[in-house]
Amino acid sequence: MFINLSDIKKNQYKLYFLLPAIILVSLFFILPIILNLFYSFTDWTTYKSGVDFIGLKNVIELSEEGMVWKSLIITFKYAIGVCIIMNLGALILALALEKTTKISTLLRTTLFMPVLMSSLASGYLFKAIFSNKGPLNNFLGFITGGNISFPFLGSVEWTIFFVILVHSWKYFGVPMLIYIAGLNLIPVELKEAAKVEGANPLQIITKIKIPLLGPAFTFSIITSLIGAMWSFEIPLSMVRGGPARTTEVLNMYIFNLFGSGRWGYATSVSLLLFLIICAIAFPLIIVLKKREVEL
Amino acid sequence: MKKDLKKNVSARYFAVGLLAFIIILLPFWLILINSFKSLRESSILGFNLPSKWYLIENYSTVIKKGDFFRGFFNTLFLTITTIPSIVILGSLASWIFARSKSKIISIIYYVTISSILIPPAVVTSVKVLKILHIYGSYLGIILFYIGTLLSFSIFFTTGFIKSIPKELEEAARIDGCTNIQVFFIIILPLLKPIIVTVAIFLTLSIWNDFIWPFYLLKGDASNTLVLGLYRFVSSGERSINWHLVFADLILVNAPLFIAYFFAQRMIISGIMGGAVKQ
Repeated sequence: MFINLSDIKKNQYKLYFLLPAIILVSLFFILPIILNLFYSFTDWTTYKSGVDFIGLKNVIELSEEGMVWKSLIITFKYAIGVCIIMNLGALILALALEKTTKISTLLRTTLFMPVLMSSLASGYLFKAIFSNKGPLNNFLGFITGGNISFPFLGSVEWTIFFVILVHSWKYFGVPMLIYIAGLNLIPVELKEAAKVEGANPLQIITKIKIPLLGPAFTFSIITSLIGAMWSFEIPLSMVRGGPARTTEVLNMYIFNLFGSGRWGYATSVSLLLFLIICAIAFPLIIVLKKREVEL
Repeated sequence: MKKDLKKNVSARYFAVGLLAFIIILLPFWLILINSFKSLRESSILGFNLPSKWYLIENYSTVIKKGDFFRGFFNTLFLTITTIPSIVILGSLASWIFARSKSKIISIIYYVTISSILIPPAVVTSVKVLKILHIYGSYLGIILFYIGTLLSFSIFFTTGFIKSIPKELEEAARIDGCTNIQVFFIIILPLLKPIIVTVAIFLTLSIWNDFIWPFYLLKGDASNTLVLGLYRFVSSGERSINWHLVFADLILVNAPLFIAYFFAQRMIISGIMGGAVKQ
């Protein structure tokens, strides 16, 4: 368990090459997390110059306020919804565009475009599309022959679903390409052999292609789940967490607390989000990795 | 049977093409065409051509009001200073991580790459930059970006370096190369494919970033493209002037879309290649 200096010297790999990376990571990633742990239990605000230790008071007040639990549930709904819709959509498109032809390359290139857009910009775009007199309502009115004005962005039950859809729209290009790359790694002989044995296309997909996509699933499910737990630009730009705070995910709650100067509270919520992400990320990596080996 | 298969494939492409038209091209057309309309006409949010074109008026309003050029150069500056730093420092560290057999180094490796999954702490990052007296400045956010995004570069590059035979380095050493020469002459050029992948992802996330410029920049420095867009929309009255918002959307996103137009092949294969390596 000690640094084997002779080994490193012999191979001439200088440890000081690591130093800039270690210093910057410690200073700007690890130190804030440690400080966050400390400030969670203080009354740090913009209104007061000193910072006092107040134990669990933040935690108690926050749980009494109730918004943190609501926000937590919204975050879970959001992350799970995004993870399912985005990966399912990406997988279906990847299966359709698996072969590299001129048309499929053109379609991949087109479908990837939302990834280039800023999340905030995609939120504003769909705020327009989903608005009461917007293109989508007009279209629905046109096909039904009536005058439709569905409150896509004003429904306490449904708005979160449309926000999830937009998040999935913005990011599905990356998992789509990852799945295509994964599908192209599957040996052609395997598919041919299955065909010769009389497997139908659906069986080839469920019995051969999907199981062999293991590593691609691991990577893309984890990154999309955690990405969705953390980002809040789309609910912010589409509906500002509304209506009635039904799309206010935890990180937007932190953003609002920060804006109102309640920094101690903000760090408490931040700690909660941190613990939840750790609790999800690490077991998930282990479970998904294990499945990969078994397959 | 072959004919059937062909029909099947073209039906599939037709379906995906239709989908791409509806969910990608129509929304983009909506932005583009409404950015050329008058306030009154754009408020209907139609797909038709404008009855009168307000191209120069709308775009010059946004460029002046939103101080577009400053935003553009600020964003460009952030992107082109941060990415090479991350790539070089990350590759240097990855080289050691990939070659070292020490347990401690491997623990440091796992702690370092954990920041791929674990997001930074928001409020106390502001605090740390304040303590270091670099809060609100470019130096602050650049160092912060390097510290939090290095993990991404290290994760992708370390695996890649492991596949490079050590003999290459040894041969260079015998020829009298120093360590730093071995790195820059032998290793770094071989890393080109993975560096392209990493740089693409970093460009997308830094260029389009909202959260960190919002928290960490102050005053004039904080005029990045995305923050400019945010302030422009937030400062509006209750109703949104879609013609101007859409013109701003076009301007903010145009640079990356233009780059994509010229380098789409490299970008798509870069991402697919990076995915396969892992």
